[in-house]
Amino acid sequence: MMEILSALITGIAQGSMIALIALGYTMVYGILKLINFAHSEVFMMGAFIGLFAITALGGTQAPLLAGVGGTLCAMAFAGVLGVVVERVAYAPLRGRGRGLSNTRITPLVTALGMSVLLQNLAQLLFTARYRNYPQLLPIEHTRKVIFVTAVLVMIGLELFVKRTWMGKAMRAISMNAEAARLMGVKTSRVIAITFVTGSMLAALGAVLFCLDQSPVYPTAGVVIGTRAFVAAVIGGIGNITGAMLGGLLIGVIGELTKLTPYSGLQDVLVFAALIAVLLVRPTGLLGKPGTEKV
Amino acid sequence: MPSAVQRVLTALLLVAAVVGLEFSFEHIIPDAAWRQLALLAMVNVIAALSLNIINGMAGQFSIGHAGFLGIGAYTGAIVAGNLHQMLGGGDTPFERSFIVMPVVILSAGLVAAVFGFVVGLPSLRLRGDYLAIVTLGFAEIFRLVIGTADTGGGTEGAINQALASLGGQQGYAGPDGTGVPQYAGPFWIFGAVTVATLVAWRLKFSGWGRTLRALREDEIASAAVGVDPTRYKVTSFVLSAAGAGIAGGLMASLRDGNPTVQPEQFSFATSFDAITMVILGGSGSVSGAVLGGVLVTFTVKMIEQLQGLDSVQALKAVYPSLDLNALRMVIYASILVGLMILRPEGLLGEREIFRRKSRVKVTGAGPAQPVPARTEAEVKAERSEEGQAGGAEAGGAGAEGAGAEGAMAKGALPEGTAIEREEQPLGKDRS
Repeated sequence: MMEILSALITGIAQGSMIALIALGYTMVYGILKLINFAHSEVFMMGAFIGLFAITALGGTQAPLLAGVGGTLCAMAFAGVLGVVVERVAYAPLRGRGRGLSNTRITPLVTALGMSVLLQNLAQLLFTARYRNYPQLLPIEHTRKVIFVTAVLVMIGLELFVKRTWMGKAMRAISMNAEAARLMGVKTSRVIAITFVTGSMLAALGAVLFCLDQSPVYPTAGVVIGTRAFVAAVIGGIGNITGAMLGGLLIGVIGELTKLTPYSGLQDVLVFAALIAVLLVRPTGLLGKPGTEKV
Repeated sequence: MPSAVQRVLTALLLVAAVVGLEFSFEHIIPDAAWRQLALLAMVNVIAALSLNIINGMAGQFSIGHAGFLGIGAYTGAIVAGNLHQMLGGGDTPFERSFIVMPVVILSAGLVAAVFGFVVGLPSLRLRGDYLAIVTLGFAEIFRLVIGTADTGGGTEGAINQALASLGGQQGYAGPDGTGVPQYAGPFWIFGAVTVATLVAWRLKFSGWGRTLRALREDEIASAAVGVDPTRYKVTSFVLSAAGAGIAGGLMASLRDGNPTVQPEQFSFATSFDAITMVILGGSGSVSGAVLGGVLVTFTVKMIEQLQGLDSVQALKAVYPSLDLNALRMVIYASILVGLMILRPEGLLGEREIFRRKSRVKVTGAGPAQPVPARTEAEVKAERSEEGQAGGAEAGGAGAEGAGAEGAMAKGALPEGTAIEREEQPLGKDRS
């Protein structure tokens, strides 16, 4: 019984962190109708930069400074990287390629290409070695910090999207980009800001994730990225609350499978849950066709 | 239009060429590595051709093609391995491949087709991206279930044991663990490619292919003129999966190839390669898929060859930690992204390399096809098709550019539900 309870708690912590990454997928999809496959690599890069910044800022000698400073560094870097990815791989295709039946597919290919590129770039720059974060916080506090941070960020994001002018512009673009542009919304800039926000959240999630227990390595993004992506889809891609819900669900499923002898099948279950949800509700748990999505 | 005699002659010529290749292949390409690469390229072409049916013609989007390839490969390996044992094992002579390969191809294609049917069924309910995700999920489940079969859980139960006998992460190497017999020589590979290309070509310009493209352009309009979307979508999935299964089966028993079938061969990277081949060549184009399959296979190999260069080796000596494999992938990905940005429609777009000589017949049958010529864009699209069919390739291409613009707005997503109208403007966003 205690086992299940502790698995639930770990699962919720894990899940809220997955949700942070899922938000990046969801926001970009909401605006561009594009699955940003490079997002998981932004997560991984963020984790690396966070590690270097934390080590540079003193690591365990000054846990608070290193933790906060490192996280901010990682977020800033990831934000820039997100925009670079958008400008290099997606923006050129947005204006061009009209008049083609595969307009939706071409950005997906460049997205996958960027993902492969970044992953191998990381391997080239940082080598394939597994690196561990310094233990900045006792493990039981880490979980609390993760959960609280994730919830605060979600609330902040919800306010950002619902209450600010920029959030309104994002929602406008997701509804009708052409009309939004005619109304004076600078679509290009808003899209860039969406990428910055999503990537910063991914970096935050990355640092929290690695502080918890995980080593960072060039292909780290694949496993977590896949789960986050599934979480976003289960919740209803394009829906912020949905991403949170999906993340929690994935986290709990993952931790509960570890209790059974089939721990190797964790990802199988995750995907099975995904297909099951999509078959019952084709647009995810909270996704409503025709609603506004950011 | 070629006469019957011409057709028979062409067919005989092709058969002769393929049989000739079987015996002269080792003399044409003396290097075993290149020989293997050429065969692999052909298998990839079959995979690309099959994916082209879903992604190019039907306008659905599958990113889990590796799953079908894998199912075909495992089925083919099991069938070939057991049949080989029943025939007495030992060598793999050419005569015996006439017993083994047809069974392998048929079984791999059939099993994959069954799975294609199962995966294709959700396409009735799911639109665009969600369907893509289901195909991805299916491929991942397949890979993970086989990969973890011998590690996860107990070995009780018939299913568990059957899965564990597939060797988990280590891969399946025939029933006695000595490797899958490699019956698929040049005759089978090149023969299969020829047949697959012809079939894909005929499919594209048949009534079925035209209906499929009409469905891609506008599902509601097509349904209104009597096309059953369900039937066409599911058949396209089944056909595509069968093609992938055959490619997988051939891959498993490829001569000079890897004698084991490993789950990691069918990871997402494989699906990605298949998508790249189709998109790079020009989605919807048969010759584009062939071109893409050959190009991608050889590009990867070319970059590998670059590693042998002196300057690269010198660089490696200066930076011992330099990961050449990672460097190779970085180059590959950069080329791909660059190409996609410079030419988003792929090398050929939806055109074909060769002019069709027997167009008269197809055009004659044209008006009977349920092509939804309702909106201006579709009228233009149709005109471009006819312009192409009329034999004037250059003129057809120009008209196609205009017609396809409408096709983009509509055909980008096959299922024309209300929400998909919303993203029309985004495609036109030039900011």
